[in-house]
Amino acid sequence: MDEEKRPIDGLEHIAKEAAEKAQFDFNPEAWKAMEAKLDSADRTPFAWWKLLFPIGALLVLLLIFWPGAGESNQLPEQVETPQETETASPNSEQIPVKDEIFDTESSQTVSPPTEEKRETVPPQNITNAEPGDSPRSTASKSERFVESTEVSSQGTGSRNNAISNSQPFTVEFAQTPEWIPSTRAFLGVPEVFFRKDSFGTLPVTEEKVKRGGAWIFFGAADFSSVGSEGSSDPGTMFGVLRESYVGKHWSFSFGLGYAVKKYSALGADYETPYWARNNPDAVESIIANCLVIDIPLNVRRYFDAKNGNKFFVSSGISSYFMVRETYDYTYDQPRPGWNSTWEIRNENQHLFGIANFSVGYETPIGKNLGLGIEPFVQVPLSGIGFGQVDLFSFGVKAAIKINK
Amino acid sequence: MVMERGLPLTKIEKLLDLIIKGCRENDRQSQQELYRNFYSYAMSICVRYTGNEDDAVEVLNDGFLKVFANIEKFDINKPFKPWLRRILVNSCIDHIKKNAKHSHLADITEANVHQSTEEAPDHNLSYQEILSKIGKLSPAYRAVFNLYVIDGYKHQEIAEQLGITVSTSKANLTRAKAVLRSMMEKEVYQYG
Repeated sequence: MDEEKRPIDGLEHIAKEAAEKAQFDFNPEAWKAMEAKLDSADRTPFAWWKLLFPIGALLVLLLIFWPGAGESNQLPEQVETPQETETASPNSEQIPVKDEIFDTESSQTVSPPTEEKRETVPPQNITNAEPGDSPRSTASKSERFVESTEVSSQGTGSRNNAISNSQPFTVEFAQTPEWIPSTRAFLGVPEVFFRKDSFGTLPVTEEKVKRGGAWIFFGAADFSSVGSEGSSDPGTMFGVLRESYVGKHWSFSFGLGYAVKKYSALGADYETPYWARNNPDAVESIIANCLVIDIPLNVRRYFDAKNGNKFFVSSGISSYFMVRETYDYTYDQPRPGWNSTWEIRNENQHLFGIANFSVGYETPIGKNLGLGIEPFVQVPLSGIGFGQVDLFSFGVKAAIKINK
Repeated sequence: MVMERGLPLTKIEKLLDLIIKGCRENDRQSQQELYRNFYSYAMSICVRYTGNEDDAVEVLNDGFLKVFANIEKFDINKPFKPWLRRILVNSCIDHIKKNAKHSHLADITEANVHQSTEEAPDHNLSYQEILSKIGKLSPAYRAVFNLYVIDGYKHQEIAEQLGITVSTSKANLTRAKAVLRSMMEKEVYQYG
C-alpha cells in the first residue's frame, strides 16, 4: 500500500485532532525545573580543560627549573666568561675562606686516592705547597684550589691563557673525583661558597652548549581530511609552545594549540550515529567543524645552516580535547526525525591520540628573536571525535620565536 | 499560545521574532515567554509519547533545553512550530530508547483485542483524555502509533528509529489501534 495516500480511519482522525487541539495549562513548576536546567547549563559542566593552562605552565616551569637540567653544562660556560675568571682569581680574601671550607670538608672525607692524583700535578705549579712536606691529604685539595687560581691569575689575564695554564688540572679533574662533592649536594648553599672555576676547568670546546629555551607563538592554516574524502575548507590553528633546549641541537617543546578543524567524511568512514545504527548506509556524508585544544609534546632536532639559520625536524605526540563538535549530515534519502545537524561539547578527549611530524626552517631577526616556517602533518593514532574518524591534518605553521 | 491570543498573524510573527531574538541573547525573560507560549503544544506531543505528565514535563524540558541551545540555528524565515515539533519528537524518541531496556519495543504482546475497523469509535472523551488513552498504550504500541498516525512517519522510518523490523512496526500499529479503540469504547460503555 502506498503509505503516502493511505486512508485515514476514524480512530486516526480522532487521535490527530486530539493531538492538535488538546490544551494543557501552563505549569509553573515545570518552568522552575526548566530554569534549573538552564542554570546548570549556563554554569557549564566543570571546564576541567581550563586547568590545562596552569598545569601546562607548571609543567613547563618544572621542566625548565628541574634540578640538574643542564647542570653539567654550567661549568664550562662559567669558565668561558672572562669576568668571572678575572674577578674570582684576584679576590685573595675569598680564597682562604673557601679553602678553609674545603679543608674542613676534605679533612673529613678525603681518602688515599687523592695522593695518587696529586702526583700527576706538575710540581712547578704547586706554588703554595711546601716542597719538603710529606703529602697531606687534608691539604691537597685546598692547595689545588689556590694553585689553580694562581695559575689563572698569573697569566695574561686572558681567558685563553688561564685555560691553557690550567690544562694539567683540566686533565686531572676532567672526571671529578668522588671525594669532591657534586654541586647538587650543595643545593641550598649560597653559590659564593663554590669555586667551580677551580675544580671545573674543563676544556673549553667551540661547541657552546645551549641552555634555557624559547617561547614559540604560531599560527597555521590547518587542512584536515578523513580517509578517502578530501579536505574541505581550511581551518586555523593558533598556539604557544615552550621550547627547552637539550644540548646544542636538540630541544623538546610542550604547549597549547587551539584549532578549528573542518573536514568532510563519507558515511562509511564515520561511526554511524546512534539514530541510524540499524542502517549505517543511510548516512552518505558528514561535514564537520570542530574546535579542538591540541596539547603537543614534541622533540626537535636542529641542523645548522648559514648565517645563524637553522633547519629542523620535529616529531611528537598530541592530545586532543574536543571543545565543540558540529556535524551536518547528508542522508541517502529524506529522513524525518533524524538529526540533520549534531553538536556536542567537551565530550571527547583523546590523550596521546595524534602523532606529530614536521620539518621547518628558522631564521634569526634579532638577538633573541626568530621567525620560522614549519610544514606539518598530524596522523591519528585513534578514532577522533563523535564519529571516531581517522582525522589527518596537515598545513604550514608560521612562528615567532623568542629566546628567553 | 501566541496563535490563540487572537492577534493578527503579522503581530504574532513579530512577537515571536522578538522572543526568539531575545532567546538568542540568552535572555531569560524571552526564554520563559517562548516556553510559556508553546508549553501546551509541547505537552500535547510529549504526553502521548511518555504516557504520563511527569515524564512528559521531563522530556519537554529536555527538548526546550535543546531549543534554547540551538536557537541560533533556527531559520527565522521558517515557521517555528515544525522545528520545535521535530526537536520534541526526537527528544521523545530518545526517551523511548533510553527506557527501551525496561520495555521491549519489539515485543508484540498478545492482547485480546477486537478486530480493527475503519470506523471512529463512539466516545465522549476530551482531547486530553484521548491523549491520556494513547499514553496508556504499552511503550511499543504507543511509540509506533504516535510516530505513524500523528507524526507521519513511515513504517520503514519507524523501524529504523526504534530498531525493530517493518513487519513488527505494522503489527504493533494494528494492535495499538485495536487496543486504543477498545479502551475508548470501554470508556463509553462505562459512562454511557
